[in-house]
Amino acid sequence: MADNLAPSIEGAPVLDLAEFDGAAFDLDGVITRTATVHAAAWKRLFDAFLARRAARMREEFRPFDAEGDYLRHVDGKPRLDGVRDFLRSRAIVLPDGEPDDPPERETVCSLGNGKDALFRQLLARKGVEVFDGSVAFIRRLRGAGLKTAVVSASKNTVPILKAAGLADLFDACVDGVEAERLGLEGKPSPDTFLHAAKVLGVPPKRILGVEDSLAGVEAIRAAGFGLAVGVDRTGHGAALAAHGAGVVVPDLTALHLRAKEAGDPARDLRVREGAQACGPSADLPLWPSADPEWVLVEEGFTPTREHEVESLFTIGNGYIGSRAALAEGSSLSAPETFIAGVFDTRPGASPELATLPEWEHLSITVEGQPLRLDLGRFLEHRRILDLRQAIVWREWQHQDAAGRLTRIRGLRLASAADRHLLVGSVAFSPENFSGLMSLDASIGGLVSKRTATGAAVALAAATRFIGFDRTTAAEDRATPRPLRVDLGKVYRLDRVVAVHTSRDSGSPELVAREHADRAIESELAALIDGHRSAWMERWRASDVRIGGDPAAQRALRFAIYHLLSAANPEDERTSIGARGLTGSAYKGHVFWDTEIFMLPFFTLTYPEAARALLKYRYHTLPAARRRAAQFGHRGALYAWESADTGEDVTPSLVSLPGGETIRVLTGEQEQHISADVAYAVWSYWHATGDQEFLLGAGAEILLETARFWASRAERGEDGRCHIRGVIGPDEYHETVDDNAYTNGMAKWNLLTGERVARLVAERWPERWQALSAGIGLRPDEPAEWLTVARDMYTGLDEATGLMEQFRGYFELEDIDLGAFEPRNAPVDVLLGRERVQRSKIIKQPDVVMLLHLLWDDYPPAVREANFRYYEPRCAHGSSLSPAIHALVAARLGDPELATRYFRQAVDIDLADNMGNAAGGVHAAALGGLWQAVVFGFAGLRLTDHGPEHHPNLPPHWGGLSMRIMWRGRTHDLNLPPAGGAAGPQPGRRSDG
Amino acid sequence: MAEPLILVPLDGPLDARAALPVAKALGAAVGAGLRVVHVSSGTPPPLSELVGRLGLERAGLLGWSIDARVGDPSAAIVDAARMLGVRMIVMCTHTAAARPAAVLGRTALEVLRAAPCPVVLVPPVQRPESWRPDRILLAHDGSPAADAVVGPAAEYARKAGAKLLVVRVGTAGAGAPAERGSLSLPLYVDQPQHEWPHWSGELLERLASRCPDRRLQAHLCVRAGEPGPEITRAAREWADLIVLAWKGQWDGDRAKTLKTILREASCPVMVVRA
Repeated sequence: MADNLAPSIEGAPVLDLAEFDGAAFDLDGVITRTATVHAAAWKRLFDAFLARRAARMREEFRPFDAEGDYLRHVDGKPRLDGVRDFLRSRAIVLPDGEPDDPPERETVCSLGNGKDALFRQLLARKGVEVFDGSVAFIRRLRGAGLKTAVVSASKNTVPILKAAGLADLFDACVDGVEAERLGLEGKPSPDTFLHAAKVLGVPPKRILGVEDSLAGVEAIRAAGFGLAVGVDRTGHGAALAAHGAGVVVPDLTALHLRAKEAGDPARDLRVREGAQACGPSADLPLWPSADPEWVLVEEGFTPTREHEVESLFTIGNGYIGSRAALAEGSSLSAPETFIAGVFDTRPGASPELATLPEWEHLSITVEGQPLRLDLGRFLEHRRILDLRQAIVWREWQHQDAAGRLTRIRGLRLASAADRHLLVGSVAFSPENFSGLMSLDASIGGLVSKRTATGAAVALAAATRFIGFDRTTAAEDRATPRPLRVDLGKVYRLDRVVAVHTSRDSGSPELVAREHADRAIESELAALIDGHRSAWMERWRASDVRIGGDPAAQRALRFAIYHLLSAANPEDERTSIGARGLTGSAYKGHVFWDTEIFMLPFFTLTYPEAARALLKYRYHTLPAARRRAAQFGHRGALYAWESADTGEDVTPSLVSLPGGETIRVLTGEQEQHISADVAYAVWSYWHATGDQEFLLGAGAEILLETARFWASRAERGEDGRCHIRGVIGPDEYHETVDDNAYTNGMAKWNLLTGERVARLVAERWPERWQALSAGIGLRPDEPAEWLTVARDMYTGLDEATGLMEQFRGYFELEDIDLGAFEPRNAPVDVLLGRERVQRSKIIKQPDVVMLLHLLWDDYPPAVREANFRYYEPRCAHGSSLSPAIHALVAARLGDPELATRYFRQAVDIDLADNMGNAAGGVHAAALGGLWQAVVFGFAGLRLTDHGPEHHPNLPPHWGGLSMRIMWRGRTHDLNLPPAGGAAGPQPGRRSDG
Repeated sequence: MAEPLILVPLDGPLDARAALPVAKALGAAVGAGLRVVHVSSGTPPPLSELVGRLGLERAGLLGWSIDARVGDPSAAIVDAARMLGVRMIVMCTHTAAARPAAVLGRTALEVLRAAPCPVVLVPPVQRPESWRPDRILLAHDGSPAADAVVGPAAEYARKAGAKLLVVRVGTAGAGAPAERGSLSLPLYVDQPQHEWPHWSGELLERLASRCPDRRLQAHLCVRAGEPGPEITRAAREWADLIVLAWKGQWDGDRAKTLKTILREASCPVMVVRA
């Protein structure tokens, strides 16, 4: 790495701007993507020439290789040099000829002219494609005071720059025309770069050169420039480095810039506040991650997508979640911020997550004209969810009706280092005007609210202006009073909002006020730094790296980001609702989603968070006991939907869109949730060995849920134990008897209850005494559980290996779901609820779900038979369904089917034409996506001997690596591609 | 501001009896006068004769005027609509005795293609003078393009005191709208007690955002089947007027839903360009 570079916190190179006064850029491949057009033109030219020559000479026709030959012989060179060098590589010598030689003459010049004509034709047809990251990089350098030049062998440089609207981006242009006029030798000779340095008036050693061609980096080195930056978009990074590149990056956005004014060791992240600190120092101190596998980008503005974008781009830290509504609002903006565990109620309705005052609102007006996307026009608008840094970014260039251009960059985060803190910052710059600008934030001080459930919530805001004259910004708060802004300068408004509730302290207003006042004393960069460090730590523990499938990689990181954003290991009295803290749909209610779909991720990568989530079930155990008693049973029956207290909050009625109002039976009948909670408790204990948790909370849950099933099961005349009148995971069929999933999980719960009773009694007899006495457990109860488990009806047909999903299922009408595909409505809408209830169509995996959870309890033939039977009958009417199908298909060795389901699972939140995510992301489906990768494709199995894996990677994946926590130690999994030379590698254990 | 007008192209007494009650009621709802236009290929008849032939005096109209033009009918109608800046055009689907194979008569189709405003197409059956748009059915496929209908439909509903029903049709054999920003019917109804109320609220909120005051009083109905026949059925059961968006393409297999509705519906159909 060159001396003027340093690694940043993330390991990305940092460019110290103090080292440079100028920058010179190649055009093709660096700024514009004309390389492919050039390559195509060269290929057409040479193929025609070579074919003619082969026919004439009776030789074999060997065509021009648009990749190899292009890169080796013509890329980056003056046109005629390129012709000569390629011909030389084929041992062909032609006369140079005259500059205006017509095509029919076989000379170097005629071929060069032919190539130019072909290039112009193709350019006119295809247009100019620009690398936005490079343009942004050049603008930032210019903003920092560097002079810039373009140095290209192309004689078409000026037309290309004009066509791309980039002509004003450079102080100097040394192109093929200029080089010919001055007799400058082309790259790899340093002549053109040295001439650019001369025109810029900057010594070569104070210039950085940027090139993507081997000849180009050689030329930069030969010119004695301070640094040669190689841009590797085609996988030739090693060659670039070998030819003299001091640093190689996939895109210029991967370079971090260290501001010139900064003076401390972490100054790439720091920008000091100052009354006169206009210019680059007032800009945001950080840029979004450049790697496309780490970002979600929403370009432009589609009003009807706003609710979805707000959900997808939500920032959260488990304590607080804030949807990414536009600060200035729009016709469809729904700014909502939620706090975990803080609910509100409306008369006659079940509790719902309380919505906080709109902390992020900011109206900006320029000369009285509001800056809004629906007024004037935006020349550029993009929002970026930066998964790695957990920051949502906004980049916006707006032109108002009077033609005034304003550039705005903003960021927003929910601090992972300080969970009560929300941070927002917006930098803006008048690009072609000076005038008056006003900023109006909705909250400037302290706002408090009390919910109908009695919770008090306080938000305290503090703001800081940077770049304005102190005298006009002395009030130190957002103000609608106009402030003077000058062309080309950058101004910034930082805001911190501290949020506290009566759940946290007795005087949330006071605490919030003090917290905000304290936080605003920290520089923005320091606030960001703490937050980023916390996230880096999380990603080190939780990231899963997939090779060769950027879309899958990004989707998985999106899932992990939202799972991490939803968890708070410091709060064991809240859990994660169906949509996390990303939207108001499902009211923040907690379902089995948390334990069965999300918890495995936390247990294996963030066990502190898993523990806190399970403690929520421990703290709500009293409500679960009351619910069991209410139904006349013993033990604990968890609520199908719960909020802060654990009481059941399932709505009792629903109006369907066809006009029909029906009773909701899940609250009474979907009782498998008790076994699901028990399953998660045992899985956590199994993976962590967390004895304190087991003895303090887990065992009690396992015993009380086992007890419930023992009292819930009825012994029938056949001598078997039956569970009647339930709803399984397949909610299309209600009030069924002996649902395979419910019975199977109940049986497991009974056996595990007995097992944990034995375990605690044997290993911790004193605790056992206290525990069993505390819950009034009779000594014979665990043995009774074994009997009930042994006699539990399973619905397994030994002859076929099939498990009947519930009594009478096999007699139902078989409907071919394939006949309805594709469809744009759920099956129960198309066929009607009653028809579906009378059919074998299922909503989501039920028997297959049981197979997934209790995989080792069933022989391979049973797993295969049931999956093949139920999979075509599943309508995937639940977002939980596709990922589990992907998981099981992968485990059964069907990567093609698994990949199809995996993609379907990805689209649940990320398709842009469905509107699925408007009410929040599908947190459980995201957890399922992680499980599909880890338990399905990676084939991870958690045995009593430790983690094992039996990979079933999709053929196009270039391997997978991840880290899990197992009983206090980390295990690294590094899986090669399917069919790779190396066989499955054992997980590597390391001290974590 | 110019007086709001509704343009009513009339050819003869048959289409007048069908279109005039509709134009009259819609005009009354929004306070718009009627401009009747008759286009002939040769010398136009004297206006007094035309008024009699079209039965205008008997139609009980208030605030109307008439214009006789010469030339190509569709071009003259569209030209008049543009020049006068009319709010809408109300005309019959066809004037011939038999419905043309192309669903619309040549003039109606050309007007629909080129009109600068919504076009209300009326089946040429005699309509009672008392016809009123009391129940308006808004057909919507979830795409942002279809939102174009909301403003006009909501305005007429509010001003006429009419009920508004938004109808979505789920269909087997058809995928979700491809347009970015569409709201498909929820393929994943994890919990109906949460999903349907939220989805309904989301759809109505999106539609309300297209209304001038962002308020929309509407009910929502989801049906299953082929969109054209299903919307027609829903309209037969309930509606006086169907409002739907049209993307401007007609030939071949395009506009299948609109063609079915125009062919089958017995009530007027307001077509708004998406």
